[in-house]
Amino acid sequence: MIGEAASIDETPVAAAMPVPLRITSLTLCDFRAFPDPISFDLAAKNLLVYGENGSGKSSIFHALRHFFDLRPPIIASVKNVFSGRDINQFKVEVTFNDETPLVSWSSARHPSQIPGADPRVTETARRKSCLDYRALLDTNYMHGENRPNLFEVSVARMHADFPITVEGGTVTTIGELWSEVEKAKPWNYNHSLERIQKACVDFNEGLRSALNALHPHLEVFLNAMTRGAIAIKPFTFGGVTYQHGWWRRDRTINGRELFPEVIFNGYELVTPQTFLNEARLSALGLAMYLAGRLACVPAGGERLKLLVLDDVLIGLDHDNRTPVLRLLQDHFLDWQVVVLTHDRVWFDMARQFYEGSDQWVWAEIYADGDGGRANPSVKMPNGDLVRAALDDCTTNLAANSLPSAATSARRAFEWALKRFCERRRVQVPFTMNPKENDLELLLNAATAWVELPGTNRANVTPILSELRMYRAGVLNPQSHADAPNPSRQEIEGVLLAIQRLRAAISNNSIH
Amino acid sequence: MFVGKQGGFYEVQPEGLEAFPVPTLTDIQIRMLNEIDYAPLAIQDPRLEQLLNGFVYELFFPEDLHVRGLKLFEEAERAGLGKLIGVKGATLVKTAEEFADCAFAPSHPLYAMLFDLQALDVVRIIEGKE
Repeated sequence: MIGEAASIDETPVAAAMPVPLRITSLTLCDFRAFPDPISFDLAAKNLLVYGENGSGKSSIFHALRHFFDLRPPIIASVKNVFSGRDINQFKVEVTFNDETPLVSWSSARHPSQIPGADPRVTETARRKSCLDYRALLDTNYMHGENRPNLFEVSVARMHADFPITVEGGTVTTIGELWSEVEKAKPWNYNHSLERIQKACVDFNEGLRSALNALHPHLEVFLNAMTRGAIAIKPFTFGGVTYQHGWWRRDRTINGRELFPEVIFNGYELVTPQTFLNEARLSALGLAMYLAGRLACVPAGGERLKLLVLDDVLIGLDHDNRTPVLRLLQDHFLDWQVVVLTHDRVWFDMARQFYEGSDQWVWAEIYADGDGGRANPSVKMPNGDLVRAALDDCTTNLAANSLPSAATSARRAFEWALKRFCERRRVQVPFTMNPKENDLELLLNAATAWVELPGTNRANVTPILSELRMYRAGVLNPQSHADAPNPSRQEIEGVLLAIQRLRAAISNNSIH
Repeated sequence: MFVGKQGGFYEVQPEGLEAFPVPTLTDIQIRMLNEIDYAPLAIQDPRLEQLLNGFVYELFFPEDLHVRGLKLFEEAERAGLGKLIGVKGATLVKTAEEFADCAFAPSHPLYAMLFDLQALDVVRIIEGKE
């Protein structure tokens, strides 16, 4: 019989539905920063959103978080307070890629409300993961100089919705188990201790099993994000116990301690937050959170798994962000990912990183002026950075917004030149000075490449000469502050030159 | 159906039981429910008790589960629960442990089905999680 038992089929069988459920569009009206209807076309892909502070990024974060929620907040707490709209006009709407009508959260009802809850919403509510930068700060900076105790942040935030099966086969969560511990504290000295003791046992077993389950993922993520520099020992959670006493103040829960044992290049850290740099601390917090999600959310399948990250990469420099992008690509391939950032440079870099993957769409949110009460607008540029910037430039020209058009033209020029050098394998001189104008270096290198004797690159020379001429005016990033506005003709000339440079990138007759 | 009496005793009211719907078991349901000795296992591993609860939901609310693709009996048999049929004692416990380690891992479809069971209206209502 033992031999038979060992032969239990360990090969999971994939579910039958071939197309995974994905969000195709999200529409908000009167929700937090968005007083008027606004839509994001996700096209069943991942979404990367750029927006400056106050533009409404966090509203998108909260819209997704609360739409896919089994216990949504009351509408009054998330309604735009300046819109003057009737509460009946409030809506958050989602369409899915399964050809069904849109699903709406309105004043009439929330889609997770029973009876008649939409199963796609309730299933996603149990699978979603929404993390903002505040949760990451909780893992390190809030502990000051002390040894970081992750108990509260783990129980209340990071692993609060980790499912645990308890006696009787009932499914609860770490957060609910902890809530039961707090509720079970006796209200007088003579009260039975049976409930509180059982609550402590259930909680301890639940948290230990969650920590054990997430640790293998944590190791993999930390290794990927820190290139092996940081390791973490399996958590040793001693468990909470109830201390009884005559006075109410003496009745306490002891053992609320969860200390990560972090090892940095072989050296064990007592206070990682005072030793590790910001990037590594962020990586540690992010890895802990993501590991917790992968440890409990079912792998594969056709259900929607939603990961929303709001500015969580803020503490990482570019070198440390790329591994996170790679990690998302490798470990969250079957998730629909929404990343929100206020960092324009990183937004462009991430677009370049994912270029060609066909799994991402991009959005830019703008909310200029009106003392923070402006109605945000959304642009959904395509995956081609140069094309998107050129489109911006054309739009701004049509709106007679010449300074904005010049800014877009500079962005188009920068990406077109970088792409030209990358695709043509132009050799660029190395410089130790990071402040040196890299565009000038690229332009010089590109010029040297086209002027190389014995090649047929001469027809690119006038394009580069023309762009160099514009570097003194429209394309000079230092000129816009004090200089008079660039002329329309000048910007149109730049547009034309960039389009010609763009054409030269893919012109196979140039060798 | 039951009446609480002084001292915490209960009295069975037969007229309530007579009207209680009893599902007719299919062959696979008979194999998975009647031919396995769950008594020593359920206390040891609450996940097996969770699976039993799931079986009960599927018996009484098959449409609700099946429309979402939750077919616990079929998936449990596919995962090897049938290996427990007719097994007793320590061998039963060991076989059940091996089944649980495999079938209750997040990568297994049975885990996913039990995970999604909690999102169904009927389960949320019955378990008071609305």
